[in-house]
Parts: sequence; C-alpha cells; structure tokens
Amino acid sequence: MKVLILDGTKSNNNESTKIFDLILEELKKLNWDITSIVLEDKNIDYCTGCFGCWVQTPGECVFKDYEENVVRNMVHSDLIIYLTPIMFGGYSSILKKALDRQIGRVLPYFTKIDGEVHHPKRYEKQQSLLSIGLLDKLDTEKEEIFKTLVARNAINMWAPFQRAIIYLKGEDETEFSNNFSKALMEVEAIL
Amino acid sequence: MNNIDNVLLLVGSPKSASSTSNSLGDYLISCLEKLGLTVGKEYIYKLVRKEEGQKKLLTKVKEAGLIILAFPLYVDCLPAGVIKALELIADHRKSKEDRDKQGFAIIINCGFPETQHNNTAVSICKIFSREVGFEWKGALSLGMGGAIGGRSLEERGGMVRNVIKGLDIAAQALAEGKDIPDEATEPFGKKFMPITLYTKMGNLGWNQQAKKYGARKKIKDQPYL
Repeated sequence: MKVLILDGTKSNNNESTKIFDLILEELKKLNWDITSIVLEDKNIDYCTGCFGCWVQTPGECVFKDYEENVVRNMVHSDLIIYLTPIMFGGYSSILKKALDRQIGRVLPYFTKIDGEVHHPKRYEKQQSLLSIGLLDKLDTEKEEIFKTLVARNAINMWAPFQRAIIYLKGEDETEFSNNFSKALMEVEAIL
Repeated sequence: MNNIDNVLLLVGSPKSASSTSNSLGDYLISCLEKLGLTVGKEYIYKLVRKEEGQKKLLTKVKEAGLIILAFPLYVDCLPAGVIKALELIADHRKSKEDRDKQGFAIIINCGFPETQHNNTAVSICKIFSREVGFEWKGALSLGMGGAIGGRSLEERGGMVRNVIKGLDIAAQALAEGKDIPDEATEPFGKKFMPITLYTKMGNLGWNQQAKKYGARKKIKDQPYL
C-alpha cells in the first residue's frame, strides 16, 4: 500500500508540523509505504496552460522540473494525501502549483460522469484522496467549500474514495488521529 | 480614498494576453472605459513570480476602486498563480488598519460545457473578498471557454452574442456602483451550442492538435508505467 503525502504548508509552522507527524504516525501503524514531498522546498514552476501534457508529450509536462517526480509518484500510489492550510476555503498556492501540473493523469477528451462532462482517465489504477485542511479558527463556510473542492477533485481525477478532514487549531489531537485513522481504514477496505 | 472610477483588470491566466480570460476582461473594461471610467490591466502571472512584481500588484490593487479578476478554472479551483496573488493581497491588507472599501468582481471561464464546475472557485473568491474587506460585486461564470480560445469577442461574432449582452449589462451596473445583476449573469452563462456538439468538436480539436506535434498515436500513452 503506497501513499504519497503532498505537504503544501509553509515551513516553520508548529501546527502543520504537528499534524504532519500525526499523519506519519498513523500511516506507519498501518504499514503504509510512505513517500512525502514538502512542496515548498521543491523547484516546481506554475502550469503555463499550454496543454503540452495532452497533445505534445502526452501524459508528461513539457517543462522538466521536480513536478515530474510528483506526478510519477501519484501514478504509482494507492492513496494521495494533501496537507494544506485552508486558504479562503481552498488550497494553498504551494499545493495548487503541484496540482495544476497533474492534468496529464487524465486524457484531453471529454466523457460524462453522472451526467456531467469530465475527462477520461489515462491510467487504470486510480488513487484515493484524503485532504487535510488546517484552519486557524472555526469557519463553517470555509469548511464546506473545502469539502466540496476535495469532492470535485476526486470526481475529476477518478479517485475511488475521498475524504476531507479539517483540523482546527487547538483542537484535540486524538480526535484528529482517530478521524484520520478511520479514513485510512476505509481506503484500505477498497484496495 | 479609492474611487470607483479607477478600474483594475487582473488577468489570472498564465496565457496572459492570448487567453480567453483576457478576451472577456478586455471587453468588460472597454465598456467601462466608454462609460467614462479609467481602466488599467495587469497580468497576474507576470507579477507574482518576483518580489518587484508582487509589490507592483499590491500597489495597483491599493489604487483601484474596482478590481475585476478574470481567470480560467484549473482543477476545480483558481490557478495557483491567482491563489498566490490573493494570498499576497490578504497578507498586505491584514496589516492595514483602515481598509478602503473597494469593489471586487470576477469573470471565470472553464473548458467544460457546464458552468457549475466554476461554483467552488466562485465561493472561494467570495470568501477572499469578505476576508480582505472588499465589497463583493458578483461573478460572471462561463462554460465552453475553449470555444472562445483567446480570440476577441468581436472576432467570435454571433456565437458569443449572449456573452456580450451579459458583459454590457454588467458594465452598466458596475459603472453605476451596483452589483452585477442576474440580467447579466444569465445571458453570460448561456451555452453557445449543444453540449454534444461542443464535446465532439473538442475531441476532434485535441486530435488535430496532437497531430500537429506528431503525437496523435501517443495521445493515450501512459509514460509513468
């Protein structure tokens, strides 16, 4: 069972380091093979919107930087975990930079999923998605938007299972760990 | 004190001047200019990469009475460069005690035929607007963005007549200091053509583009297996 953690938080943040450690602890307990990428440290440029990964070098970005490792690891994983501060209800720009460059994981063509147009998958194996959002203070509107965003990403990237877990600053860590662990077991159940 | 007369268009597509976001934004600010407002335009991706550009972005935003953000949908959300710009603006305004009430409106387009793909990104922009103390003026949300393909609306002709109608009405409302009304968002979001025709044309278009690069037979390749 392979997992890829994409850490889209800023360095020197005690709260995110604590959550990152809790995530690792739970994954280790369940014997996951872990790859984690701290995105802030990596040379990943913005997507240019050229669609070269669809029509020029299909499945691969035409620009070579660390993102190639991100997408390669995504393709070989059973589970992808996002770790991000919740920015206005969405992801941090650090995480989103890596996510914008992953569209080679799907094909350019159009297909319908539940009556709505999306892109067909490129690879047979698909990855479940757990997204951990960090919030400084309670904001139910941001939480709902974040959950919707994760669910929409899961549809577009064909994730067989998705869950958004919110960690509110100062919240009981045991509760977070239990929620995360429960979600991991649900992921394992469909593997 | 900011004045509504000073309008700033922020184009949030990495394709900058050749983007559909630019076409839509350009049309709207040209209407606002005709209505007597002073307009300016910046390309976000040219500003957010370096400190100097980031400072320019913050100065331009500070000076504007009305900010119009035009961007494409990327993976169900705002493109990373646009999020970076919003993060910078939010950080900057946090440190300001007396925040001027500036108007904020968005124009969003996606390549899918249905506009509902844009809803999450619109919600994120609304939250941003609330958080930084802007006055939310509304969202113009468009599907089938691929059919405009970065060309000017005048060039696209009759196909985009409803888009033009929506932008004309939105410009009038914004110039009067009002929110974008439903009379503008409804025609703006209308489909240009039946979904099946759009997806068929799109699928053919991808094949043609791949052929141009000699990649037609590789289009379904799985390079990372």
